[in-house]
Amino acid sequence: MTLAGHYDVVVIGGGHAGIEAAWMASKLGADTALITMRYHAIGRMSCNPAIGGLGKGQIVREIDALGGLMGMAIDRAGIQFRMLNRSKGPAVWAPRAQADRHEYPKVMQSLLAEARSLDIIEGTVEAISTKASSDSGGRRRVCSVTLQDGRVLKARAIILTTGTFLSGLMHCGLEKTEGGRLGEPAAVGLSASLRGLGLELGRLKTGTPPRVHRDSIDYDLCEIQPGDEVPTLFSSMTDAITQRQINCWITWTNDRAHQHILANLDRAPLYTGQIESTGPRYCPSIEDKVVRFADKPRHQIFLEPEGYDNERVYCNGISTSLPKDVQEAMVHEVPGLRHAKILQYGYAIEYDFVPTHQTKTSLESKLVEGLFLAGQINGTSGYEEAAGQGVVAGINAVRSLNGDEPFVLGRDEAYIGVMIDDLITKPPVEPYRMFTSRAEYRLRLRADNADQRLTPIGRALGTVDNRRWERYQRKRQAMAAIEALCDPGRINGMPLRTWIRRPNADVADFAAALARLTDQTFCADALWQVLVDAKYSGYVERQAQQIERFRRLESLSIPEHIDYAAMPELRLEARERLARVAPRTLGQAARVSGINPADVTILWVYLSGRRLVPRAR
Amino acid sequence: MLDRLDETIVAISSAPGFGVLGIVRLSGPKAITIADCMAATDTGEPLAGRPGSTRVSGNVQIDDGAGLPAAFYLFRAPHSYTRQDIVEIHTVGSPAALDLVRRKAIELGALAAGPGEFTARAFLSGAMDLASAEAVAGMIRAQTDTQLRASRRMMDGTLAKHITEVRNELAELLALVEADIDFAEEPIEFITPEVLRRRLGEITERLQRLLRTATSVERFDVVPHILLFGPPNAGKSSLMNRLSGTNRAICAAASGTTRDILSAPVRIGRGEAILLDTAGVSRSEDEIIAAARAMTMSTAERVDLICIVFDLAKPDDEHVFDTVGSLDTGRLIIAANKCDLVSADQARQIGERLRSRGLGPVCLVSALNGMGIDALRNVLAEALGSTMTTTLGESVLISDRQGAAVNEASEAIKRAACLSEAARETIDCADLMAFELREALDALGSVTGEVTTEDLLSQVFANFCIGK
Repeated sequence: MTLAGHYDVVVIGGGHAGIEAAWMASKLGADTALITMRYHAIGRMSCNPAIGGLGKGQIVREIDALGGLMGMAIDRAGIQFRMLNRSKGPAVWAPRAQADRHEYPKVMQSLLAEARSLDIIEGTVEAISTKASSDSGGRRRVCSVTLQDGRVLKARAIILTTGTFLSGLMHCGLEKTEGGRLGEPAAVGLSASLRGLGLELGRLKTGTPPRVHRDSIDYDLCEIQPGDEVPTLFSSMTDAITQRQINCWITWTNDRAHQHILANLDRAPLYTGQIESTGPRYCPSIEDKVVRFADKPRHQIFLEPEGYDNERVYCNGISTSLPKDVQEAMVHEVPGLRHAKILQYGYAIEYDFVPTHQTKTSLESKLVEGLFLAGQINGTSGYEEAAGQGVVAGINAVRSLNGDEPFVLGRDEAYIGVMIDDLITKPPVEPYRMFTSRAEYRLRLRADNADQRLTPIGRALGTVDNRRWERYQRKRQAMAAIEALCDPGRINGMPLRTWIRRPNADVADFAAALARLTDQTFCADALWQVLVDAKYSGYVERQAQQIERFRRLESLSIPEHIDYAAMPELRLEARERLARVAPRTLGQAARVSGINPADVTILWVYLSGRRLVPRAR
Repeated sequence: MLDRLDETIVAISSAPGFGVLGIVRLSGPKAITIADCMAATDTGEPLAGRPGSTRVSGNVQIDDGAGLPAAFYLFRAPHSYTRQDIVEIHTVGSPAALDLVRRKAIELGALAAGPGEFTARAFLSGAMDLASAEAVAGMIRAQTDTQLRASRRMMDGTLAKHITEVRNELAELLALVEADIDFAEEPIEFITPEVLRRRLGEITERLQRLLRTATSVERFDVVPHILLFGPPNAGKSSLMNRLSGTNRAICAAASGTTRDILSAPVRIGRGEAILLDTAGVSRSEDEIIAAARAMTMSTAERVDLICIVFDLAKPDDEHVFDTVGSLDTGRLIIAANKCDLVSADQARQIGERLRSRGLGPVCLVSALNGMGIDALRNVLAEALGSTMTTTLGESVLISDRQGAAVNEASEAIKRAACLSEAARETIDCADLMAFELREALDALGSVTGEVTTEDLLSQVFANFCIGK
């Protein structure tokens, strides 16, 4: 056993959650260590090489607005950019980009290299050690981590971001392999260590499709899917995207492919009982789709190149754990893939997670002080969801060491807030993925205004640096100048503000109209922001009223160690559920499933008896 | 309930159904303003100019020109039960009258209070000890349970069926619109604008029809109502007790005992009816009695059947039939009471004379010894026969709160439909549409239970093949 260092914060795992957590912790001045099995695997994309999408693109913009890395990385490593949902209102537009699978981790690694107080350590964590906590509650507090090779790192706080590596088990047909990702070992000892700390572990499943050689595809039989002519940026630190954009392709499964699947269900781990854990309903395997939706004659496949110089093409839409020979047979029936050479077979993976009734809104464990959890270990799925939690866990680990109040984003402030609140009040039983419909205040939580919502908060926290702050200020000034022109301004006899609310008003139009009123020119970003704000005025005010009602309950905090058993007027079920979830505000209590309005009123009356204190922001 | 502390709420706060005087209580920032819109004070001065903790007498206006004598008790924040401005309107104790006052307040912007809402407000700013918190919690639980039982009874009925169906339909549409947003990458057309338009139109139509045809549960039940109508001391209360087999109405030899409307369920034929016992119709100096009588008259115009109770021993009371003549009413039954006090011959004679008026069937009864009661029951059953089936078959009961929720939902759906008007190929303002539909669903959810996002997503995952 060798003591290999003293750190304020130790992050375990170099995935998308771990990266943001380590970045935030070091940005806030903490001596931070990021432990990863392999340096070059930092930021690797286990599943599809893409960032963003519905709900997820919004999260990336929020991470960026708070000073995180994901937006900058994808802006540099993206090979095809598309704004999804353009035919709908801008509130639900969502940026998405294909990434160069090799480039993305490299960019991430170079960005992390800029961190001032961050050590990256290669190794596998075997155990977490604790000591008696100084608070009288009898809880334990983290003190160190032990690596497989015997090295010990002292840690004042630990952030667990283990992804699919915690006792990962891969299934490909009846073959079972231990591992956290194809070709990489699992972290097995850590599961036992967590159980030893008293944490309850659960098991989830996810899957990935086969990858084929790009030169073995007959593109004439596929439908082309080009990127946007003008790419939309993820990061407000990026000036423009100059790299060349590639095309993706679309093809479809057919009845013959389905027949191969149906004939081999007895070798499909999903149906033999070999896989027992729950997979996501929104991302079913191809065998699941064919069985459950037997009436559908075909299913869509996106053929997504994994990079400029990468021979692999990701077959998005046919994730599977069928045996290799069935994957071969099935793929070769698909138009365009008749001669496809499979370079990597699809597989399913099961992994341990820590069900979130054991976790606080700050993402700290309820049981072990100083232990934070982020990403798939909290039952989520997706790079963006993981990274969003990494930001919050990284910030809160440092805040807890400084004795500061936890940083909590409200459901009315960010998708990240919606996600964490959902995780805490309704612990997931399948991998949790963000959808825009999960956000009640969707008209406010837009991708376009993430900086307006969150950059001032990040600045106050200390995660937004001067460069980002200056850019933000410039946009604000431009917006104020545009707004000032809008009110007296008229165009074709119509007030400018009314004119820009026309359904098809665009930035170019708006800029041209303003050019008739002033010599000043404005950046497209600010113009667009004012345009979208105008579009939603009225609705945003109605939403603001809803938010105000919501905040009233949200501002009433519940003491951490409240005894629900001493409230006989609460129904037994309500007492049990509240005790399990331990909501931190009255509003959160109201969202716990199975809690009715009368329960909330009764709880409130009890809290009034204890001199309720409004939550400090 | 806790999220609307700055709204003004109203409720009838005297015990239901009893008492000469009743209280309607308003609490909140607009309590005094709303009360002033209804108050005609004796001095003509508005309540707003008065200090707290005062009593002001006058009339409470419930309709154009119509008023009831009332006393207004004014309590100013923070010196009141809820620590907000409170106005208590003390007026005629009849449930129907109190309900009119309450409705007027709602019309003027007050919200119907939920169970325990006044009590909950009472603790807004006050620090209180745990013991009193427990007492209050118990009270809220009890009130909620009572209301829950009442609404469950109602939810077994037609309204629940209608609302649940509409809500499910709406949830399905919202799920489809949400899917159209969240699963834009899927090669699935979840719903076409045309179908969406048509189905929204159908839902609006259905909700509007529901509002048009629904019967207010605060005012009347679906069970047919029979009003006992007659001069004071004709024995209406005794007859009510006899028919219902209870001792609901207090009978006294003194005239004018019953000054508000009492009700009791009675078995009539194979069904049930509600018997309403009212103040006797006579001329009186007492203002409140006069008002109660006016209530009787207005009630008479809304019941299914009127049973005129007439004292055989007091032929002078026949003036009651003149009053009846002025009513725009349905069927009449005449119960000639107290036939135990006159000879059989006399009774028959008076009976004939009454029949000759041609107002309706005449039954000779004695509420005292039960003579002729079964015959009266049969006559009532026959007269109600058709009424009972039609009333029960078509009418939907709705409370004010539910009515308001249904209306709110209907308005939101109309706005959603407007948004889809221009849509041809795709639902281009799906985000706004979802906003409106969600509002409608939340409004209906307050009647039949919440629909969560998880419910919506489950619906989509169950019906569509989602995911790449």
